[in-house]
Amino acid sequence: MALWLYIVSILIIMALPIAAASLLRRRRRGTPWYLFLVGAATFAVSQAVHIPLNNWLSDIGWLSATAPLWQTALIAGLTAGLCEELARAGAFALLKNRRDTADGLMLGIGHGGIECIGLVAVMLGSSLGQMWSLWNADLTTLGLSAAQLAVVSGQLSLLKAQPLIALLPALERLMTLGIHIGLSLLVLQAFRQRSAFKGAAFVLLAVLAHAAVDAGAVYAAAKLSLGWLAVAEALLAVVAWAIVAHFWPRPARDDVVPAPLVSQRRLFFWQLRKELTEMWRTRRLLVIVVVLVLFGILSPLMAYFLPQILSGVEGYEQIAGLFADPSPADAMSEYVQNVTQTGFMVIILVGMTAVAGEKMRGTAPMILSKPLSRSTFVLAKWVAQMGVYALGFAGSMLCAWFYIWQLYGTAQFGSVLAATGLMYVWAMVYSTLTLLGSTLGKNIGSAAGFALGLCILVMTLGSIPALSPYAPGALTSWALAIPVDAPMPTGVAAGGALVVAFALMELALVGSVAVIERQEI
Amino acid sequence: MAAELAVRTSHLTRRYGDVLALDDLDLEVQHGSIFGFLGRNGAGKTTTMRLLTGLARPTYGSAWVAGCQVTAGDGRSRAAYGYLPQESAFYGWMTGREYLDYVGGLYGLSVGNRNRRTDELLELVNLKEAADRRVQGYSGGMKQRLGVAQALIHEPSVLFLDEPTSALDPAGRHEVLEMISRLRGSVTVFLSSHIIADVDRICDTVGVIHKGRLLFVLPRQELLDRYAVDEAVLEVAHESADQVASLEALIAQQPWVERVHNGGTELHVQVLDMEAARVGLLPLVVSQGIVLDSFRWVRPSLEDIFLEVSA
Repeated sequence: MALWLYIVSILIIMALPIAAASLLRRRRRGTPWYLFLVGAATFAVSQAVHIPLNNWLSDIGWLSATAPLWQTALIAGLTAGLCEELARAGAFALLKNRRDTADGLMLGIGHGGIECIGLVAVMLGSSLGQMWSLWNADLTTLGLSAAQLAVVSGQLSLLKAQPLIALLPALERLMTLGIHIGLSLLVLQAFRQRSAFKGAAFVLLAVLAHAAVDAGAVYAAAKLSLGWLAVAEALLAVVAWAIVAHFWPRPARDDVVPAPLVSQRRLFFWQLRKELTEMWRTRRLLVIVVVLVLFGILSPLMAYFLPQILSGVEGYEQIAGLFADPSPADAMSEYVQNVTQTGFMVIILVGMTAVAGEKMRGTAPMILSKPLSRSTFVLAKWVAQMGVYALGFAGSMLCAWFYIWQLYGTAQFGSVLAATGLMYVWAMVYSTLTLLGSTLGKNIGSAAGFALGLCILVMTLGSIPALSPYAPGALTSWALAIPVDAPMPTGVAAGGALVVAFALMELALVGSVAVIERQEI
Repeated sequence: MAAELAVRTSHLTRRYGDVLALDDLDLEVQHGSIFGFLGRNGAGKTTTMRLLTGLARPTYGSAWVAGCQVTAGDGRSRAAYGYLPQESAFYGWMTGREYLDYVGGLYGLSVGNRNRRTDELLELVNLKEAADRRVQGYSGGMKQRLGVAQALIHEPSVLFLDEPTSALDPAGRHEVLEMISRLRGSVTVFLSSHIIADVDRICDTVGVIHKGRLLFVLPRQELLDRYAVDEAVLEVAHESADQVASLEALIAQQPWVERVHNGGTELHVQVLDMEAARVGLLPLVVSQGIVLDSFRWVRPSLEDIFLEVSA
């Protein structure tokens, strides 16, 4: 129960910023998605200064475990306030034409949103993976010290006894997001002042408010019981969102006389039908499914017959002798490698034309001058690709499972399903990045360049040892680690990587929408 | 205020780097008219169209179509108009009927309405026989007619057509212009073109844009009248040829005449008072018993005016 609530908590945290931004745009349609990304960038920039600053303060002893609590709370609060609020101020200084309250709200949602999606959800995903592994394990067999054993077993016991604790992170994020939005409005207010002195006063106020909240959080975490902490978070969340609600835009009363609204939900399904029909008629659907199914069929066959084939080729008999007897794990390894290597090229080739092709052919201006919104246009393409790849991976998985079972006599359906599912998530990360590349490019050539560049960037970052456990590549390693001839293990090895994969998809989609909204078609 | 007009722009401006593509456009187009937006290539016609249809954003200013502000980033206003871009493109894998059905769906039309409108429009644009063929096999003229049809599928009150005839052969041009003429009164057509003959043929109001600036907007007839030269040409018949000199002298004596030029059997009469000349000139000829082969007031063509103002 607690572990499922943990998953719910992660889903809420990942959905919260997107839901808030979508609701804001329903009320004020002109508020661009790129402000969400600018808000996210302000958070990233602030942390690039904040983290080294805190490390330095720790080195000189101002922020140490032995320092008095009041000192830690005050300094941690002030550094966070200074770095984050000055980054927000920098963004508003650059965005000279964005002074509407809705602009401030969107920037705040982006700032708090990336903290939710890119930091807290990933950490929770990682914790969830560890907890899932330890949930029913005999902790005494893990080689933990007595102190570690006491902490881990204590935490697991608490979670088992009070599963609702798993929802606390979601409550905390609800509160924090509200506070971030409020602080963005305070900084925006600074740029609405005619007097520079008054403007500076608003920024200072934001810094002090941020510092007070963070210092309070440090104190509360140290002094309050979990129950009181939850009550405090709930109260602060109510106050923060009441303030946000006060500034939330009212329905427009200008001279815009909207024509009858065509539901974007309805248009989404209409556009999705067109995308799927197009993929069918242009044979793209067939290519994707056939290629993936072939991987499912050929990988077990190749792994099984390769030693026999080589032994039949004159001069290669000795090499064939070097091969161990093929096992289901060899078949699975061949399958994962084929999908992740050749499949990657299919993803780039199919995805790069999605938006850029429409811009190049001139069909985009024909369609986007109609009530179909640009976000619906992009979203339908993404869902269509997700659906087609899901079909391909499902066929591939069934074939792989069948052939492994037939050739090797053993194959756990759940294991093959889990490994293929992980490869599917991996593939969808690169498919979504390719869609972003296709949106960025004005023609298919530049779209291919952007798509490859983005994918290579993610792969390169994923090769950094500190980041590799969280990179999409960790999903394929995880898929390889699943024993195909044994029941599906309960341990989740790379929960953080799984959350990062979904976070990357979420941000790439927001990026695609933000980019196409800004483009002149 | 804006709702009474089909199209209105206020200080609409678009700058691309150092290039001012559209400069402070203030324009009003009345409901039900066929408005010709005339300009040389690169004058700012397509930029205006793209701003009016939400495909581009103004650097400054606002625009309304059928009362809806189209420059506020609100996609809901797009149901108010139909649009055919300069380079119309279709999904070649669809048939003409499927494309119209698809576009109808984008406007939220019900299945029944889509079927009805698709049949009506295929009839209107003369594509009924080719309706179930894939669009990739259509000729340029057929595609352009399909383009007009898709822009009309939701029965918009305003139709934007950007250079709808520029890529067509004479027969295709004739077909498309005929079709647009048939819309007169029911739909406001905003037609941009650099082909003066097209505008002259079907438009009742003309706006001329040059280097991003709107030079003027006038009803076509008023425009022709304003630029009319007050000159009459009398072509004297062969049997009255010996009376040309006396007629020239008689006309020259009239107080409303500025100058008479004798071109053999043709007299060119430039007048000072148009109204007096219209009343007095022909009775003068008749009183002398002179037979004319032809008589006409010299009218400049739209092309003459366009070349003059956009020089």
